[in-house]
Amino acid sequence: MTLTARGASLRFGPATVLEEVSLDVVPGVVTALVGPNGAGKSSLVRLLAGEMAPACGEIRLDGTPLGRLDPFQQATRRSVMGQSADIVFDFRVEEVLRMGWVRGGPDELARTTRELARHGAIDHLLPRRFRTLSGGERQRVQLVRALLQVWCLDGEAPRYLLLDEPTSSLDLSHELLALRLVRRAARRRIGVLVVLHDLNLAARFADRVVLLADGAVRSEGPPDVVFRDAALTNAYGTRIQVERHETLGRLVVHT
Amino acid sequence: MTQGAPAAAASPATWLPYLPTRPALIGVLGLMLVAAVVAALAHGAVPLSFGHLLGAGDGLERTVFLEIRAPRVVLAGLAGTALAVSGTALQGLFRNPLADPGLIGVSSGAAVGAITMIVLGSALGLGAGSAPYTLPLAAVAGAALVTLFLYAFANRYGHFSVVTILLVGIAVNALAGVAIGIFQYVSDDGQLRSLVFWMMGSFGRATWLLILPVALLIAAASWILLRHARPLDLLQLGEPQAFHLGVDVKRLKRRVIFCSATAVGAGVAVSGIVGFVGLVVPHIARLLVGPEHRYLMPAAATLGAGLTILADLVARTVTAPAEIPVSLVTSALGAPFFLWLIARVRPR
Repeated sequence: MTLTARGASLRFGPATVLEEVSLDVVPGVVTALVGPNGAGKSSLVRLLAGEMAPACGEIRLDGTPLGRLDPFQQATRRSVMGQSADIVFDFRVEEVLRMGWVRGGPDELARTTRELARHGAIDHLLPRRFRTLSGGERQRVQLVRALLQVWCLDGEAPRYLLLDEPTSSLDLSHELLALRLVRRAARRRIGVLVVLHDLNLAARFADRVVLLADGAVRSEGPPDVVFRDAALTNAYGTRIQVERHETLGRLVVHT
Repeated sequence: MTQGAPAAAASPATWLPYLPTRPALIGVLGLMLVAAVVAALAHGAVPLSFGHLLGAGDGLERTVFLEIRAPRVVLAGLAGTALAVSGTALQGLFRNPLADPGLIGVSSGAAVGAITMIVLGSALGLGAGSAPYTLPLAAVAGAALVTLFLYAFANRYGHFSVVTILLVGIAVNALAGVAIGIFQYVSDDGQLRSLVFWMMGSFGRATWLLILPVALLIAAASWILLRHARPLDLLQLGEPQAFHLGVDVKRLKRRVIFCSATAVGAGVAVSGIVGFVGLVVPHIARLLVGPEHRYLMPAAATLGAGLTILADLVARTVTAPAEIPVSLVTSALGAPFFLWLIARVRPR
C-alpha cells in the first residue's frame, strides 16, 4: 500500500528532468523532498500526481499503474497542493474549501471543515472573499482544501497527500502550524510527500528525507542519515554544516 | 453557506449576493421572467388584453397572438437563454470574465455558417423547405469551428490569457467580416436582405416551425452545460488543480465548447447576432447569486431569457409599427456595462 515511483524518467525535449527516480510515499509517514532549484522536485510531484506520464519507468497507486485509474479514482485516494493559480471570480473561502470535498455528505463536510479550519487557523477567514486574502492566507486555505480531500475517506483506507512547497508564503509561526497539521494528517494514516526548502523544517518534521539533485536521488533515509555536511554541500554547491542541537534535541542546518 | 452578511463590509457587491438564499433569488428571477413574458405578449403594434392572452379573442387578435407574438417571445427567451448560459460556461472555461460568444468570434462564426447556407444553399440544390433545419445546422457548424480553432490556438500559443483570447477573437471577427463581405458582394437583392437581418439580429421571423429544432438544440445544450456546474467550479482553481480533484479536464473542455457552440449557433441561426447578452447577463447573475455555477447557470438562464424578451419588446414598440434591430437595444445597454466591467476587473 504505497504511492510509488519506480525508475521514473522525464524529459522535456533534449533536457533530462528526472533520471530513473524511485520513491515510496507510505501511509502514516511524512517524507520530505528536498534539493536545490531545478533539481526536479516539482516534476516528481507532478508525475506522482498523474499530471504527466513518465518517459520510462512507472507510477503505481497501491499497486495499480496510474494510467489505469481515471481522474476521479485518483482524486478519492490522493490530493495535491501545487503552486496555485489565481482564482478569477469572487469565491468565498468556504466555497473554495467545499471544492476540496470529493465525496461524502454535507454534515460530514461541515464537521470536517470546522475541525480543519481550526487546526489550520483559518476559521476567521471562512466568510471572506478568497481574492481579498494575502498570499500567506491563500496558501493556508489551499492547504486545508487539499487536506479536506483525503481527511476522512473510509477511515483507514490508504491515501496520499502531495504538497509542493506548502510553506513558501508563510511566516515562521504559520510554517510550524502548517507542518503540525501535516503531522496530524500522517497520524490519520495519510502518506505525505512534502517539498521543502527549509532543511531545518525537514529535519524537525519529516520521518524520511529524499535529497534530489540534477534529476536524481542523491540520498534518502531518516533526516540524520541524509543530512550530512558533505552530501548537502555537494548537492547545493555551497558550504553547509549540520549539528545536533543539544537543548532543542534535533538537527540544525547552518549555511 | 448562505448565512448573513460577512463582517468585512466592502463594496455593495460584498453583501448583496447573500441576503436572501440563492434558490429563493432564482425563484424571484423566475417570477420576473413570467412578468416579462406577460408584458411582451400584451404589448406590441396590435394591443392585446389579458382576455386575449387567455384564449378569448377572435380573428386578427387571435392570429397576432398565436402566430406572430407568442412564437416571437418564445424565440427571444430561447436565444437569450442560449447566449447567457453559454456566456457563463465560456467565462468559466476560459477563467476569464471578458469571454463572450460575440467577442471571441463564436457568434460571427455562426453568422458566417448561416450566411453561407443562405447564399450557397440554393446552389447546393436544397429546397426552401429544408431551411429550418439546414440553417441552424450550418450556424452550429460555423460556431463550433470558430470555438475549436480558438481553443486550439490559445492552447498552443499562449494559454487562455485575457490578451490572447481577445486578440484572437478580434482576428476571428475580422476574418468573419471578410467572409460576410464577400457573400454580400456576390449575393442578389433577396439574399442581401437576409444577410443584413443576420448581422443586426431580430426575432421577427419567428414561426413555430422554426422554433422547434432550435428549442431542442438549445434545451439539450443548456441542460448538459448545467450538469457540468461542479467541474466548472473546480476549474476555477486552475487546470491541474481541477484534475487533482477528479475532473477529466480535456473532456470537460470539449463538452463545454461543443455545447456552447451548439446553443449559440442555434440561437444565431434564427435570430441573427444579438450582442452583449452573453457577456453582460452572466455578470449580473454573478453579482446576485455568487460565482458557484450550480446557482449561477440557472440564474443566468432565467435572467438572459427575461432581459432578451424585454429588449425585443423595446425594439418592436419604440418605433411601432416599424421596429429597430434588437441588437441595437442590447448593445446600447451592454456596451456601457462592458466598459464599466473593464474598469472594475483591472488587476489590483
